[in-house]
Amino acid sequence: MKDFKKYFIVLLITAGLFAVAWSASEYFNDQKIAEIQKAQDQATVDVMSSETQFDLLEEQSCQDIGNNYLAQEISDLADKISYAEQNINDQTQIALLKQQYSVLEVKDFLLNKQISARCKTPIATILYFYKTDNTCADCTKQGYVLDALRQNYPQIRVYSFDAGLDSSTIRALLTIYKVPDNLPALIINGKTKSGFMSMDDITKLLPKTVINPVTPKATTSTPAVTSKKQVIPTSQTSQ
Amino acid sequence: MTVGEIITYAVIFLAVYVQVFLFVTYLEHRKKLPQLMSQDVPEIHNPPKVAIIVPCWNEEKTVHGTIASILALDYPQDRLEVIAVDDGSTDTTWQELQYYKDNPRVRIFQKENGGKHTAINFGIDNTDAEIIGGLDADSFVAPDALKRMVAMFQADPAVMAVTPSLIVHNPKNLLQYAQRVEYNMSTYNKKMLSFLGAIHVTPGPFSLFRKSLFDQIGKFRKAHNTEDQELAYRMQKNHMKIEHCVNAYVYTSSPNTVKKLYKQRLRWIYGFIQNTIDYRQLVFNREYLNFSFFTLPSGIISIIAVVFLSGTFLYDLIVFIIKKITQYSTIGFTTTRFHFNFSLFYINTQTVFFITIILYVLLIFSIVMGTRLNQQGKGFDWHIILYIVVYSIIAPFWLLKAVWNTITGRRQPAWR
Repeated sequence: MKDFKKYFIVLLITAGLFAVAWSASEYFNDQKIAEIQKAQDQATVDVMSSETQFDLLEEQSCQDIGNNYLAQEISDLADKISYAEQNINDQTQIALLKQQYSVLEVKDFLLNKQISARCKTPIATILYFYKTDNTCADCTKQGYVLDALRQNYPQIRVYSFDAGLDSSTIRALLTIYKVPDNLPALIINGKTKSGFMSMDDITKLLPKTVINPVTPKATTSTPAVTSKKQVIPTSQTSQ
Repeated sequence: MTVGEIITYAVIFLAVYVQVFLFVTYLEHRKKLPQLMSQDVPEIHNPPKVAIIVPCWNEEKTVHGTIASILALDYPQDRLEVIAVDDGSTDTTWQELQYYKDNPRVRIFQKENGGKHTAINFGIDNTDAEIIGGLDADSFVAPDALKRMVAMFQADPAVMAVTPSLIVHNPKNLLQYAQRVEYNMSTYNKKMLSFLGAIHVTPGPFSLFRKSLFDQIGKFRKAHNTEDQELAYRMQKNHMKIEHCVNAYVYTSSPNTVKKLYKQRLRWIYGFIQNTIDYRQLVFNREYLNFSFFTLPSGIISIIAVVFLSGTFLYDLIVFIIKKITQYSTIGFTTTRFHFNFSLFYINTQTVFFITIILYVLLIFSIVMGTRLNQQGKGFDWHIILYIVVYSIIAPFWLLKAVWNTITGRRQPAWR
């Protein structure tokens, strides 16, 4: 029995090393979730700042209103949530973050619509509804198309919503836009389209002034400050 | 957690277990190592007669160097003989051996070709030496190695075989440098196994045996072209002690091309699998302790681990390729804007990542210790990275092929 004592001790040491690795993983994953939460909180504040700024500058020039930087901020957030979804085990926490993220997207979407309406500037927004389960065969392909679209046309705002997520906001959107069950579905500037759409199909439905914007002759003189670090650049489309 | 993840964790757990076991063994015996590494050459009283057999098959170019290296050994001349056995060479090996026909320390024989082990057995039958060893034509022995090894026989009558430390001779290309790292690590592993009494191979280059060993359990047998391993298994089965003389250095040539290395390792791994199957009654048998509970299972684990991880890698690769094909068929080869956005956020922090780091730390420790034991340096050098990268890429091929050959019952090519 003495001979096997070492085997048992090594077993304990190995299990201990696994416990250390697991603890380290948990610690860093918690840090990542906290980082997403922090970024999400920051984005929420920034959206609210833009909304407030929008209200305050009602009488000002439309050139002073902009929230394009939010697109990048929200896009980065989406990347992190997507990464966390695949690499972090705590899916309950991830689902909560996704719900918060969906609300944030909707707020940014509404703000953009308001800016567009007031300033009479054309915008290109796409709401994309997908599912991560096996019921949506074309969602992967649609995702590739939208990724490419966003990279080729950064001025297009794409808001992705997991229709399988238990979120009242997403349910409301599904109802308002009469999104059918067969996903993927896209709401392109207010028009609901169901089924897979190629890049050409999508760009045909977007305003040409957004797809091929005219370079502005001069930039605005006074950028609007929204937070300690963030400076809102002027909208490329507002002339 | 999926079934694949559970298997991955199980395989990695066992791999870490093996490395921890070796590390704990090192800690248990670390105080002995300075003495074992001593530079002092031991004095041999009443030196036993030693015969070194040189099996030759078409070795016209190297046989002189091999014999010269044996004759240059620091050992009483009248107690050391060389037995050169021409195993039916088709070149001028036999003519080259005539050079020694009048040398009283060298005896030359010629026989029909029958394979390396038959040549060694022929030599065993033709000597009355108490200690017998072999030396391949591609290896050279450090002059003090024989005295050090014989001293181990004299120190413990129970020792029936002593193996040396093998060092890659004069590496010239990256593949050979990678092999040098591997051989250094093997020295550490071999020494730890010797502490455990669980060595599973007595390598062809300069392993020494008591003559009485062959009288008791027989000589070399045909065994899947890994006769030196089969003999070690047989010795373990008969509870015979195999020692490792850590500071007896033998310099051996290593394959200089991937193809040659692949063939060599395929033979080794296939031999390990076949010998383990032949001696399967030794696996998890309480009678054989560490040999049956550690050496053999750890070898089996390493093969299973590589097969499984290679399979997982292949699956992931196929999924990746399908994904890329789908992507390109959907959006075509569009030129997308490249943006490098490094963030610590995307560094892998899964449990398996940290475990893999622990595994590599233990692996690198064994390489560094092996490098020191082989007196090839004192610490970490970049060839370790080279070894890890090169072997991660090519080792799965010979392992998988060996497993495939075992499953399909395909025989291995001859040893040369």
